[in-house]
Amino acid sequence: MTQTRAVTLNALSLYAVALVLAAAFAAQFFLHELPCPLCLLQRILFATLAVGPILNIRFGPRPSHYAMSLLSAVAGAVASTRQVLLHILPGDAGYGSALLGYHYYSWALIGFVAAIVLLAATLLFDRQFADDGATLPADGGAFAQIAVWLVIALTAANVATTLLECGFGACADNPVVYELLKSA
Amino acid sequence: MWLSVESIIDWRIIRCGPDMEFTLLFLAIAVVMLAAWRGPRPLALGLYAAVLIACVATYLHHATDTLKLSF
Repeated sequence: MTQTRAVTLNALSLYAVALVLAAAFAAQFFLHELPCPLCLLQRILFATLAVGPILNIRFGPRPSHYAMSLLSAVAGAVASTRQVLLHILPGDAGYGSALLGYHYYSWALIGFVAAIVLLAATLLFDRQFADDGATLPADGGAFAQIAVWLVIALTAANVATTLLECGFGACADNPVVYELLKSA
Repeated sequence: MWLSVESIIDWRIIRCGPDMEFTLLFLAIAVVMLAAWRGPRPLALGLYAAVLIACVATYLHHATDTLKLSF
């Protein structure tokens, strides 16, 4: 895999992170399901997955950048496993609604494990780390730049919605209303 | 009415609680992304490490409840 292809692959991974964050927003706004504290933490850890690809696009692929995403994916897998275990008892209806038979935290666990596998598989391609003389487009080109700004915008939107949901105090364990809108 | 020592301690525990922790974490990771995209690389790496440690601390804070396992 050449450096250019690795940069394109990293841009694609940013679109995947953006898709996850957008899907979480869709559930929040269209199904009126407010994320619980552990759900918010999993969203945050999905967002941290994007830092490695952003660095890869800007500075070129490096193993340390992939390692950062791996650490985020492992932390996310731990958090989502915790939530799966909280609802593992027979008869437990789980938190929130299910999508294609699985709750969001189960999908999150699948997503984080898939990220770990894909990151490890990408690290197998050593040629991406060697300077092959190819001139990389500035900041990865338009395709990558749109991906970066999309992820940053979705993360910034989460700052606003989380502030609306939790207000200026600690988030409720089982949130049903937006705290700031309630007091307005 | 005078506050007991226990009330004062409880109040302090509540006030030392992680207010706005998730809002601040989202804000912090947005800043890390901007640093990674426009700032110096060492700054982005350092901020990322700080945010990841904060995420782990937040997880541990919320993982103090007893797990209801079926075995």
